[in-house]
Amino acid sequence: MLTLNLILNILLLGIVPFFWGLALCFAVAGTGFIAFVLVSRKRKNLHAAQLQEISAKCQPFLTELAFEGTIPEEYRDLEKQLRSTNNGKWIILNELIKIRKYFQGEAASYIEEYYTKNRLYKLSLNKLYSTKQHQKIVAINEIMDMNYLGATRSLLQFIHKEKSPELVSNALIALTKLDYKLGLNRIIEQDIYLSDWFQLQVIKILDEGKVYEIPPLVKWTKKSTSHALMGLRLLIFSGAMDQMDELSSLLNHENDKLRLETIKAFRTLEYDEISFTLILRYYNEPTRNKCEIIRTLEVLNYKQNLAFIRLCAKSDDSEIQRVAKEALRRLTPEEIRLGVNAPIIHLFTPTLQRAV
Amino acid sequence: MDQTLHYISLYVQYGIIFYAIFLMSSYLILSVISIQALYKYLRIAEYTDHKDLLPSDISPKISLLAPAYNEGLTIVENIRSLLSLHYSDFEVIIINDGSKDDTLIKAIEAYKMVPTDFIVSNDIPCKAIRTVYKSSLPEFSNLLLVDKLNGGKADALNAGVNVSTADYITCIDVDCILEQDSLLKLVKPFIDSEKRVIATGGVIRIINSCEIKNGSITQINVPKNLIARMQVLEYLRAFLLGRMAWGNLSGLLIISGAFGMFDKEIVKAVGGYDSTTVGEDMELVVRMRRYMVEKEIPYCVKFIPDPLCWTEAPENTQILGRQRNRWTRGTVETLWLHRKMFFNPKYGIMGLLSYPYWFFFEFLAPILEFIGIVWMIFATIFNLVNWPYFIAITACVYTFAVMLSMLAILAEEITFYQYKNSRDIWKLVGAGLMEPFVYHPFLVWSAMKGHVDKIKGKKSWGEMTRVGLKST
Repeated sequence: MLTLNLILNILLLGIVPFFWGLALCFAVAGTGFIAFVLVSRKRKNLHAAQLQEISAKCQPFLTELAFEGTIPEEYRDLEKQLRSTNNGKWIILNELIKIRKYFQGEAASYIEEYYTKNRLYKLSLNKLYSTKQHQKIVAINEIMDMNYLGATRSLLQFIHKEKSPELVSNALIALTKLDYKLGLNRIIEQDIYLSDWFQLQVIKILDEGKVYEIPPLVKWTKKSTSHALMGLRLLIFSGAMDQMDELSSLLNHENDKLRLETIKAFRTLEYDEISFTLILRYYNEPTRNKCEIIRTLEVLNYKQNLAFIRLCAKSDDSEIQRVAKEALRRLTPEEIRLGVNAPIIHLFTPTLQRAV
Repeated sequence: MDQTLHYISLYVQYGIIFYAIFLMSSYLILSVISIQALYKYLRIAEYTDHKDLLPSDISPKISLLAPAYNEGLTIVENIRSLLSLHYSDFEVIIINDGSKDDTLIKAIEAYKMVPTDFIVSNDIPCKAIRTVYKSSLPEFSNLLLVDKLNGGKADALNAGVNVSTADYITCIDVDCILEQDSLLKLVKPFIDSEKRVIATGGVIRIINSCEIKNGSITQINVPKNLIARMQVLEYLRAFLLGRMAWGNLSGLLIISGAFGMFDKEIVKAVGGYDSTTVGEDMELVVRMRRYMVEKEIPYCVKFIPDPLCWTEAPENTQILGRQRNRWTRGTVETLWLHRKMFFNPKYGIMGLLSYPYWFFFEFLAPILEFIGIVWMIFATIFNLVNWPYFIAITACVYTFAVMLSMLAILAEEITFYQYKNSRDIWKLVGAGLMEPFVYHPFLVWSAMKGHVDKIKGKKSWGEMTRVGLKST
């Protein structure tokens, strides 16, 4: 015991300089952090001012380029000078991307042509092969913004090799922007989770390009649940009414969310014939899906479904009751009158009585 | 006798060394993880246009739940601010928790609210709801006002969950100012993750001394009040260097009650907020996480580092003391309720890292610090202090605390760059240098009072008077 205490005492004496050393390190680090903050602030301001100055010089000739397709003579020297350094090229690229967003049609094609002709895509492709993740994201976005068709092969290789699902998703979006068919087919083949966010981005691109030719739903449903969901959403987007059998089969899928989205799809596509199937399915769906069925029935064929919705309004489940009552509230007195007088066959099904 | 005291003193000193080293290392590790995660998040966010969510059918409906108790002075402006948020499909549910002032009347008059026969589910027990009002103005058709008997914040939120018609609920303090795109940013993880996201939380920033116009912040300043200024540093450290790391490690145990979004299905499945605890925000997240683990459903809780919500910090010691007292009691209650998770491998990171971290460094730290101070007084009286050692370890801990504050300022600078004026940086540096001597001992004292109150069985929140935000 005495020896242990002696050792502890000696150690305690030795630890004092250690703590002083640590304190010194912390003090230096703390000072360093603040010095870095102040210096980077100054540099940031200076850099921003310089960048603004060069950008101001670039803008006139790039705007001329967008409108006329060529750079006017008086700006040629300046443009050459800028293009001669990497930093200059980087500034031109950034400015191109900025102004590209404001133009469409011919003007946009002039900007894209300049990007290709002056091999600025090399800057983007170099970043695509970088080891840093954020550089890869920058590259993908640059390629997409500049609509550089020459990058499809590089993107395909990138998708094949890249392990990060986040980057692969980004590359798939870019590929779809460059080549719709190739992009969509690649998405179908890719073993990757297609998040709602990803689907939203792809649909946005297709919408901008006014592309409504979508691979058939069956191709999507074979792959995975998220693929099926994407196929379903693309079907809604394209408004195609020729794949209703395939769509109906999704009502038997084991995934609740997919079934919910399928019900929504019928509503959006206003596919009246599904009403009875939905009512039959109602009893073995979770509450969320039941509510969606009620909303859909309200839109599809209120006359035939009115009695069923009225039954739902008496449900013990307050959520279902609320949705059903809201649906009834939305119907006009005339619609309700027509509904009351409409023949209602399904109400006599015992299963349905039990379900409600 | 002398020798026994000497030995006790020796062991106490070793205990302090190990604890300090352990604490400092964990702070450093968390800071490194945070900064890496922040950097990655920002690089990706640069190319994320959250506005893409606006016109899309894919973006889910959100219910904004804002409990209000005696908010008559500001309720009209606060509701207006909530209604002006950028999102396509959301409803604002104001829950008047039995206010004694004119909160209800003012809201009814300003937004032409009329009683409705709204069907309220009774999935989660809460105090009786008197009436549900709906705005008769077409432009505010998404505004609901729930008038109920007083039952506290957690009870009011439960009533809100029962009224909500959306799949996701956002719980906020009605007096907070939200960034216009805060809902867009908060909802994105829910639709961008393979695992089921059960909750997301954002960074809370301090609004004192900032300039506000029409419910939006026009100029961000460091608070003039020293107590509020020190809280700015504290929040920067907690959110940018702490929660970001825990979010990245899947170990986040708390989503701030001032602003967080939750999956309503899971909230209902676990029975909603616990109205018997004063730390209902942390307790709910822990319970939801436990539920997911026990049901073996893959899930995650996400953290967004963007400054999304601005709140007023207490500017006097009395209010601050009450707030910290309540936070301590809340922490103790949550840790006690979920003690089963302590070093329980079944709960993964949460059981093996997050819970022990909260136990050792949030629950135990103020107690140990307090004991340390008492021991110092005792040791000085009995001439037991090893002065060279004491001065060295004090210097070490002090410089570490200051360094961490400077790192938080640096993290803020390189990420969100909210304080544009260099003078603000100097103010924060000054606060960082003073904080360990002025502010921190007060927090320890308040936490100790919280522990004592907990033992006494105190349940109340304590009056939280706010100065109010000055709008230009």
